[in-house]
Amino acid sequence: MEAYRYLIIGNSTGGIGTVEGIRAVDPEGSIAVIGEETGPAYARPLISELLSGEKTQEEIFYRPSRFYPENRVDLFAGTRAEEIDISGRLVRTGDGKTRGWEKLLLAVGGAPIVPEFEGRERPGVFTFTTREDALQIREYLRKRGGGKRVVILGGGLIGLKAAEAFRARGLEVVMVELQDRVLAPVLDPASSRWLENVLSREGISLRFQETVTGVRPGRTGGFPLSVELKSGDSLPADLLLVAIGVRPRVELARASGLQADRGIMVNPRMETSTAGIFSCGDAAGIGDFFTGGNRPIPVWINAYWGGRVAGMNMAGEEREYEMGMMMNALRIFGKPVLSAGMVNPPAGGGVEVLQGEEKGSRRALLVRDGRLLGFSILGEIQSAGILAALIRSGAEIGEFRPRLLKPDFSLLDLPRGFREELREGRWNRSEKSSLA
Amino acid sequence: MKKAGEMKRTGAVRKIQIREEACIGCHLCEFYCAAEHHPSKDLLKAFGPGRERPRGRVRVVEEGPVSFALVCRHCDEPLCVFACVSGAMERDLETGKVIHDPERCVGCLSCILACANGTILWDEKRGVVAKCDLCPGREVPACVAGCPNEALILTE
Repeated sequence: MEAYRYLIIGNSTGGIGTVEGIRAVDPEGSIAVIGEETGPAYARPLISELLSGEKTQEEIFYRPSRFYPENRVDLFAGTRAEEIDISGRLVRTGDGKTRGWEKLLLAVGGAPIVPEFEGRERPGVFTFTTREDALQIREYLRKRGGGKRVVILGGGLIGLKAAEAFRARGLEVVMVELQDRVLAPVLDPASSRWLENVLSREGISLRFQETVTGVRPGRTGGFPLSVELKSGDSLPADLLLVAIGVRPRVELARASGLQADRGIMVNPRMETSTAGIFSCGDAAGIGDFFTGGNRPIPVWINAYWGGRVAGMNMAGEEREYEMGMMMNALRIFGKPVLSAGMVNPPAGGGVEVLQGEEKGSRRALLVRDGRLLGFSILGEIQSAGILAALIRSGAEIGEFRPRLLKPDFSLLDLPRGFREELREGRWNRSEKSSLA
Repeated sequence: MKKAGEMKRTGAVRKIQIREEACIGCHLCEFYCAAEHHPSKDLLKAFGPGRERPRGRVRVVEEGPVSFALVCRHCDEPLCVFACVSGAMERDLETGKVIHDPERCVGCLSCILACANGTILWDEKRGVVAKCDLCPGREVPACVAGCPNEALILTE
């Protein structure tokens, strides 16, 4: 039986961040990565470019081919971790192998949510979170001579990127969203409206406060599917894409006795309820920046960063991660859409929304007690990262607050002391910083 | 307990230091940077008549008596690298440089959202970002060499 100093379950950004975190501290200790999907890690957000045909599989690899040998990582790809034996420090995989570990990490990600509607197993109904999904959709459409119309359930990030890819393939797109707007969890309402204008101009048909209740065989126009909606309408379509979100994959952790509620519970060191076992990425419940509570915050940078911190701790260097906040960057039909932190005021008031709009650009900032909580910025996005740093710093934005709405906002708009702190990389509220 | 901070396994890391009090707002750093990153590496050729004005990776901002250059800090724990979805952004473990490969960049803007200094520039025309690469092949970066008042200096 092979045994490793570090065993990592998960070969996407969380797992790769962990490898890089370990190797920043420990150049020697043996590392193995178990990946459920075949091949080296790829840039998951770029599966939409695989779907559109803009990129090939090789072009979306997340790291160069030298990554695994250079970091002396044994990659076992295409097999799934089935069982963790905590007392024996073993992991059994689907290929019948058992491997030992001294430190273990679970970066097993999220699984797409598919509601329990009738016909959800029908051919032509897809989810869209893996490279294989993109390839299967392409193959399905190819067999249908390219297809004519798709219905996307969900107006979130995945749904929007898929919509763009389908438009690039010349398909009609109908987007069905339960909320009354797109990107509701990551944009303020007025920013959603701004983006919806862009989507409508690009030929995407939006159906709000609506959902899919069933999928039946098509009856008209040679379409294989008839997508039934809550309103009673039915949409003839070649394909239904279900993109309403992901849930953390906690089953393996739970079955092994690790605490998992909304995600596999980790402390700021990214260690689970069992010493020596760590977790990160979409599967892990990390500390929420605003509430302190544990929840998964399924965004790319959190997965990498959390993995990196986990890796350093696994290798014996004490680090803490406490930056869990929403951060989303998107370019859709060429339009930049960036948001971070809290974008919708919580019920109960006390939060102000500052808004600015110019031609081709808008920004909305949420402020409470003189501190920036979050923002949505569309169009002119050059200095959005400074605003994200201001959120993390917890700094009072007192006298320069009006400047934050300037489209050409830059470091120049902050007091000199702040600028110096940011240049030195001090923006973390728990570090000794004059910002906090 | 240390926060996510400096990394090990790096030698002497060279960085550009920004001295606000010395900046006279002449914008020469922008011109030298743009020329250095022009295929000709020549100021006159790069900015010659009839040519598309080249873009540099350094930008001077000014207001009243205050001016200074915005240029990548080459952070020890670079959030732009953590955020990059395509793998285009990378920190060189030997030199500490944060380097960007425009060939692998998909223009997703994640690095711009991550950079606490606003020094990664969005090149809408090319659909990729651009940032300081500390001028590979040069002993001293072009902006530092060209600054007439030591508002940009190189530190080890």
